[in-house]
Amino acid sequence: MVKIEAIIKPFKLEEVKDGLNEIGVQGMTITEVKGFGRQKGHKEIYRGAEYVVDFLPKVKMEIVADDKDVDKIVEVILATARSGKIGDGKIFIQTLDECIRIRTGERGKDAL
Amino acid sequence: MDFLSRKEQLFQSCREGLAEFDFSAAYTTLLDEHLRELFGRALKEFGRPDGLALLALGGYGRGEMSPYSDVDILFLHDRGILDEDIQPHLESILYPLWDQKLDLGQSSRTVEECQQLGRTDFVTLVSLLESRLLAGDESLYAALRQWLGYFLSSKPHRRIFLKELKTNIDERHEKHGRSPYLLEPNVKEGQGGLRDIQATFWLGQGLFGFKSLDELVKGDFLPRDSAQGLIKARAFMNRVRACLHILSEGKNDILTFEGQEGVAGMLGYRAQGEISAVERFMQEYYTQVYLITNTLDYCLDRSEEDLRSDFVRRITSRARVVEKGLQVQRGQVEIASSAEVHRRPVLMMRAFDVAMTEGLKLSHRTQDIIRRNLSLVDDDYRRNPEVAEAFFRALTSTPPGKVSTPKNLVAMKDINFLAAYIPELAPVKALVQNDAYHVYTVDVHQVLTVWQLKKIASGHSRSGDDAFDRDVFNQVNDKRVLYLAAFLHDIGKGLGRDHARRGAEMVIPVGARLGLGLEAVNALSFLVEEHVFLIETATRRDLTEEKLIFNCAQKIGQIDLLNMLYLLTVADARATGPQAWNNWRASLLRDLYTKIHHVLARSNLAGKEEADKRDKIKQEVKQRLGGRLEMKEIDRLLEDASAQYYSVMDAGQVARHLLLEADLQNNLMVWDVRAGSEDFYEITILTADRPGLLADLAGVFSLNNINILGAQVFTRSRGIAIDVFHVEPPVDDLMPERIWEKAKTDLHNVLAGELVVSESLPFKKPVFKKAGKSPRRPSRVLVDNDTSDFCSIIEVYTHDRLGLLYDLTRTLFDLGLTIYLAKISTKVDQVVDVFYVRDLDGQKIDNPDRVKFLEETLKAKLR
Repeated sequence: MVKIEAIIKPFKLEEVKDGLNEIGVQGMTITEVKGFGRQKGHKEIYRGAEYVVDFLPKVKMEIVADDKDVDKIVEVILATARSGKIGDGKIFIQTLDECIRIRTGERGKDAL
Repeated sequence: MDFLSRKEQLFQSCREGLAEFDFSAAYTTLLDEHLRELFGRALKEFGRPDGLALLALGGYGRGEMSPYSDVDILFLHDRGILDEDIQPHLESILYPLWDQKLDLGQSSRTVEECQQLGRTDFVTLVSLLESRLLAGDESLYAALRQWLGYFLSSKPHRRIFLKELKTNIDERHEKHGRSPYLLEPNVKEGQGGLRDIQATFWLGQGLFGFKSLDELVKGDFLPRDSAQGLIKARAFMNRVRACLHILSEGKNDILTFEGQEGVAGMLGYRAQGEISAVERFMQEYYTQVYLITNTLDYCLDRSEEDLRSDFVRRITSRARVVEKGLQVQRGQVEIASSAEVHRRPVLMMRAFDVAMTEGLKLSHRTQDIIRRNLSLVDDDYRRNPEVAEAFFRALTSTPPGKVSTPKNLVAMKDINFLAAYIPELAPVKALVQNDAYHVYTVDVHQVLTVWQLKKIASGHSRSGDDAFDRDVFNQVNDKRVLYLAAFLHDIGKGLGRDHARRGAEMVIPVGARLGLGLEAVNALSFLVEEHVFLIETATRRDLTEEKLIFNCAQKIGQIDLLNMLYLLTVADARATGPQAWNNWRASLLRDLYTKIHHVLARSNLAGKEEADKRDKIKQEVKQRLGGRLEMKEIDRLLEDASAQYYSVMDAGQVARHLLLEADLQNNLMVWDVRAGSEDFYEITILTADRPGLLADLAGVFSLNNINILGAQVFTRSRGIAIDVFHVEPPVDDLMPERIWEKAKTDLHNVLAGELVVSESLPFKKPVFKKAGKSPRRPSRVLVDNDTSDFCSIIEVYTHDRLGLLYDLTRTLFDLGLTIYLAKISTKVDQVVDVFYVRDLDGQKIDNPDRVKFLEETLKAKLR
């Protein structure tokens, strides 16, 4: 079992979600986050005053999946989240020790 | 039938439908009988002592029982609890009750103990006030009641009681959500819930000795219809709570989404038109909630007034006359009488005006007078300019001091004054929005949006974001338009789909009626129609796309509209609920706003004139090419081009370029040469864009001794570069085609990778030319990072020479920069080259060190 974490551009959220739905991914957690990588922030100049934007709004998406599905999921995220411009984001993959459904107590794959 | 069976029967009746069934009364009666029976049996078995009474307390004492309510009882006695006389009685009553699994709360005290606790603990005092004798020693209970009456007869005690009650209410509201209009309200503890009704009753009972809600009308404490409304509200709330308990099979008081569905079903609500059963139920629910909240507020204020000391009363009694029939007294706005309103109906709006402008409360008496005179709000009233003026003053005011609550606005809404004045508001009264975002009903939401604007205007916060918003606010020309838009922006809801469009139409007659000019009315309509546009764009579109920003700028068209739209968006989101707005969204919106603002402020490309010019060109091109290309294809190609492109080309050129681009399909490049005039030739080249392309083009021209006089370089949306060069006639001007052909071939080879300019150029022998005698001015290189949000702009001022453009563009390529747009021009031998560039990551060159390096490297090439 694996947890896939993707940091993507906010406007790509719908597209990625739809793409994942199409390959059968049914659950995900979304958080609004801020951050930067090599896409530095920028300065806004408004009426002579400078506003520095260091941290850029991004969306963090977390998905838990079975090992056999990981490649497909990553492929879809890459295809849908990519705009080709800097700041498209990153995908992180972690192994998961356990997963439990609260309502029923199911564990492991049954809980996915 | 025994107690448990009868209880089950009762519950079953409740499950089957509560529409007319008074569960509360039936259950209370059942419990009374049961407890009296137990008490009677105890007396029979263990003897009949004096000085023992069984009291019902709390909800049970009031006779308001829900299926899983606690049963609170008190054994009142006049001897020690361990006394053998009464111990067996207590046990014989309590054990069966515990066995029957009732949620029992019990205690036993002497009258003195009750007094002691009551003196110091508010909660105990109130529970004693609500007590009811079930069985036993009447004289003992009478003694307790007598003490209660005596204790609360003193004014100081009553004041403390009121103070504690207020604290109690405040704490409860704080804990359970500071608003009566929550999405998933708590029927018992929330604002406008059952506890608030109880609090009203405690007020009446504690301070004035009223024994029931009916009695609140005594001494004019509460108007009759308000008291009746409150009683009906209580019945309604109890029914809702009973259903909720049955559905949850437990003591759940929170009306969750699921609960709402279930309760609506149990109470027999049905869908009607576009509105579902749940929405109709919740509309009723919130209407009751308003009523309860307002009544409690009213009673608290009345009590406060009544308890004021005579001294304080005299001081604050001095009235300030605002105008005839209207005065300010004790910090409240008062209309003198109904007669005055009849004499001058505008007084109603004036009262509202003064209250809002000076940050005062409208006294309940005044609210009553207005409520009773709503019939005076007729069509003439709605068109009256004096009324409109007062209305706008009220709406746009920013009163001194902290903008703490929208009380007056809400009050005016609740007494239906505003809905009478603007009848278009009727459909959204208490209209629920059944989704997770919207916490409030539509009418409340609109009022809160107005209030959020006032908060921005008064600038009562220290965060940087708020200072920014306030700055934008101060630039708004006609604040009436902004506030009115806020007040009416959701007016199209409840009538089906597409509420923004409908609302935009609905507000036009309103604006006209209220005396707004044509431009203002159009702005109003635009704001309502587009009130979700900015936030949707900010969260769903790629803000680094210049074309997107440009289209937004064109759609909005003026900075004033942009400012108002921005503020409306912020206020709307903040007034929707805690989930709808946060710093994350605010930063996206700010980004979009600033970018659009730049386009509108710095260029006229988004203005109407330019837009019209573009449309004309497009029309003409379509006409010319209609037969030769498919219309869909033409449209697509026209859309791809940027506003800058259209601002320098005419229809003829655009049409020609379009045909060339259509030819580009499978070819490496397209090349077109024509004579411009005697002085120059125009060479147009289209090919796939890539870094270093312009350098290669310039290099090829240099290799062929072609001197560039001017150039316009554009990049289309899908990565096609279009370069239009104006070049001097070739050195050998008798056979120009030869030169052009060779240049074309060279370029083709370069693009195919078979010829590398940087390798060939050093071997080029320069053509002999007459040396120029013009005075040399120093060259300049400027990097501008302010004008465009999308590119760094490099301006080069220098002298013309062969190969200059190649040197410059080659340098830019070597520095890792991509050119998106370029304008090359030469006047005599002065050159002005402007390049819009980005680095290979697509970013501007912001870093000051890099900028310096760039400037110096370029300048070195110019010597």
